[in-house]
Amino acid sequence: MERAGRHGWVAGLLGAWAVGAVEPAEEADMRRHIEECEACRHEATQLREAVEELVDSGEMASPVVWETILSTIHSRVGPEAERWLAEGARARPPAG
Amino acid sequence: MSAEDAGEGDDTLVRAVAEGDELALAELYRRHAAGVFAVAVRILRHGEQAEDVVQDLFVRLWDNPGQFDPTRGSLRSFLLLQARTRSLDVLRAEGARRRREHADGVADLVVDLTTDPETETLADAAVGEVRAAISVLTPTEREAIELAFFGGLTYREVAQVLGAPEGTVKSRIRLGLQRMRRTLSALG
Repeated sequence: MERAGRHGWVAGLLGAWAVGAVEPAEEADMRRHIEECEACRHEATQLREAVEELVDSGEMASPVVWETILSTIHSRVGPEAERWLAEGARARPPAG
Repeated sequence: MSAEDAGEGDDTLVRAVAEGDELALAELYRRHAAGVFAVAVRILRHGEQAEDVVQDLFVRLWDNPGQFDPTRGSLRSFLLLQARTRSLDVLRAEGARRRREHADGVADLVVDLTTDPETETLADAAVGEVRAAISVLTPTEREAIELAFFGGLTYREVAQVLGAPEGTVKSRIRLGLQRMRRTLSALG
């Protein structure tokens, strides 16, 4: 597809892309064009901003959800702790 | 939550999450969990499953904050689309009964143009108050957008459901979102 034709094809699909309603293969093709076309990139960003308004965020998930998230991430070693552990291992000679 | 986190932009908070800052994640959760939940509960029609989607998305954000690329849009739109994708994954993994229930929900989104367009639709009743930006959509634009986003359909599938040309559906979605965006700009 020539450049002008591809631009028209992508621009026509931007709305569907913004709501996640294009096929994966189409999305990959579109992404390549969007990365190099400023006009499409600009419209893509604006349409995604409109998508933010599709939901009414009045209702909140149970507080238990956040507690579960916290306990899940606490059960793992975060990047900061990993660095600290790595530095500690270098600073300390192996036991024995 | 720290006062510093509360005043930061989402992009900055995501970078802080990458450094292991739990308070930054808490602030992002405070800002966006309700939106993620709203998308999931609208698609799944099941509160506990929707909460599982919220939990999953924020744990994923903690594990891999680099999945969000700020050059491709806001964190909020990224999370809402992720909520749509994850909710549809849950539905696909469910049995035939749940998929039938979802199909019924999709059918509810189809606008009956023989009725008064001012009459509240079933979708309106499910969601409650309609947001100002959505209210600028024509019934056919709103139908196409909701079938695609909450119905989880591609634009081709929307065209099939409505018996409309694909080009018409693409235009309705794009023009509708453009009008919503202009309304948001006008509201400041």
